[in-house]
Amino acid sequence: MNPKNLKLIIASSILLILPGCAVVTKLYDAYFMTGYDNYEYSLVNKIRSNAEINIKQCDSIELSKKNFDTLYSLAVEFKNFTQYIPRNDDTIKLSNNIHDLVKQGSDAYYSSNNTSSSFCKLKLQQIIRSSETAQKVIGSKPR
Amino acid sequence: MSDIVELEHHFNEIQRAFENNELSKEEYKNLLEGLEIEKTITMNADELQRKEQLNTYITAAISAASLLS
Repeated sequence: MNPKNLKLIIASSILLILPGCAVVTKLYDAYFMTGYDNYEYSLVNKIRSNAEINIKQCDSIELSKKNFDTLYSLAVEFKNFTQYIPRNDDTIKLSNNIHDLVKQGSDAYYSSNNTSSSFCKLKLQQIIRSSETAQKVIGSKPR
Repeated sequence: MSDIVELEHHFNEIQRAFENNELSKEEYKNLLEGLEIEKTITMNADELQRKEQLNTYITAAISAASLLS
């Protein structure tokens, strides 16, 4: 087969996978998406790892408050780091979501002096699951 | 476990803790709002994953075409 024809067939096949006018935009977005960033991955990993370690200290309100402060600092750094990287929309959304989730936990310790151990554990579990979900896809970005 | 089944399981955990008086009303509300964010994170992660897969297909197709040209 003529190589030119083959190129055409491959290009047409990709175009047929996606319907309508959004095809070109989707192809462009996918092809030029921001690649893997080591620091981005490191930040989301830190959030997840801190949450995993901190869950053991949920019985202490004082320690948990400090732990949520640290988590919140990391979440703000993650959100700010991703913010102005071009063609990084999906990761920006994820970092904003994780920031909001961590902020909920941190806010709870500033609005009450009796935040329960159960709340601490359940909120940290939410953060662990969410940051792991984000970590999987951030780690799979193209090299 | 599917995403929906998993979220339902986490909802039940929160519900149980609230019914056992382990959570205040504010904490209960906070955790339910957190579940809502978790759902959004799953959707956004799926979107990024689809983009990554498409990137892989395009790159592979271009490499294959380049080898033949």
